[in-house]
Amino acid sequence: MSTDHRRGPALDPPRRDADEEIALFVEFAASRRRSLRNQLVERHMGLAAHVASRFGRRGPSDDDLRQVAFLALVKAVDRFDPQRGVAFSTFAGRTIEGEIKRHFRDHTWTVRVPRSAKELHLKLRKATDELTQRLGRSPTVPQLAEHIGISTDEVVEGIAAGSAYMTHSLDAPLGPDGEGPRQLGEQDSGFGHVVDIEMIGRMLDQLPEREREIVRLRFYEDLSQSEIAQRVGISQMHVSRLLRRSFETMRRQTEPA
Amino acid sequence: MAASLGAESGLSVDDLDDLRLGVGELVATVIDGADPDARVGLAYTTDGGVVTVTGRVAGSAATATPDELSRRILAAVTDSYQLDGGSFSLTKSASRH
Repeated sequence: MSTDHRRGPALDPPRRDADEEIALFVEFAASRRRSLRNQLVERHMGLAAHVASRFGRRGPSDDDLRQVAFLALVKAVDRFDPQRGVAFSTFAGRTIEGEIKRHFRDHTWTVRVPRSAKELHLKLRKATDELTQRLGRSPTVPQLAEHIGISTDEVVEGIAAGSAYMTHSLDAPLGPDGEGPRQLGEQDSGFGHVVDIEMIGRMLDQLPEREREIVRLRFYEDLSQSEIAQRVGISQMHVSRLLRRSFETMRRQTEPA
Repeated sequence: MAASLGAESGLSVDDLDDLRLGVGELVATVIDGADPDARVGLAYTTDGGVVTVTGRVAGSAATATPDELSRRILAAVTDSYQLDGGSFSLTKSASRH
């Protein structure tokens, strides 16, 4: 039985769009025509961008994430089976999310860390957030161990594994826009030449808004990392990473060009 | 090491991160003027929920001075710290947060 999903001016627009989309998928499944695939991909690029934006600023650049999301969208279009009765947006959303998570797992740990350690670190991050919420303060290691059901040694290992997340390349350029000298082999002669608080203020001004706010809350308002995390709406471990990154950025500004 | 000992002292995850930051700042400060092949020795002790870390650059008598950024970081993340030539010490206890 064949149905012309494109016929039906009496249908309301969303239904007509959905029917049109199913018809396109059915046609693509049968013909595998590239032009149809591209048409389907183009229709859902907004979905890919939306999913990517949910993961933004956690590691790789937002552009990288969008690329991963768009490639995942192409895969989703290729694999989608319209006969299964699942909406494409649901299927594609999960596919894109899965690809982005894999990307984080494989690309944001720049030091090679066993997968078990990465998973432990992620588990710890979640547990830290949960316990911070429940206790109203940062949890201790034994509390984390009890909450997850592992030993304190394992908790310490998991925390240490986190330091391998988002380290910076020694070969990365120091300057903005990919210019300037590279970190590897540079002399550290400018280290320690900051002499006044005004200069710190100027360094802070160079940080992205969120990092500036986090440094300000930590060092000027004396909030703990957990308190900052709650206020800013990110995890304590993310606060920790952003603080370290901010210090590195500020330090680089004290070094001669 | 800092995290491991800190964990036994009842420090929270925040405190442990502060401890690591503090040790990192002090080590960075003392090696700033040290010979390229100098080594830094660290010793950790715990006593009643307080972690004390002492460090020394072997063979160096150069006076290390933290810059303003380091001073601000150290003041925020440690209970107290001291620098004397190529040596330092810091203490960290569980915060009231």
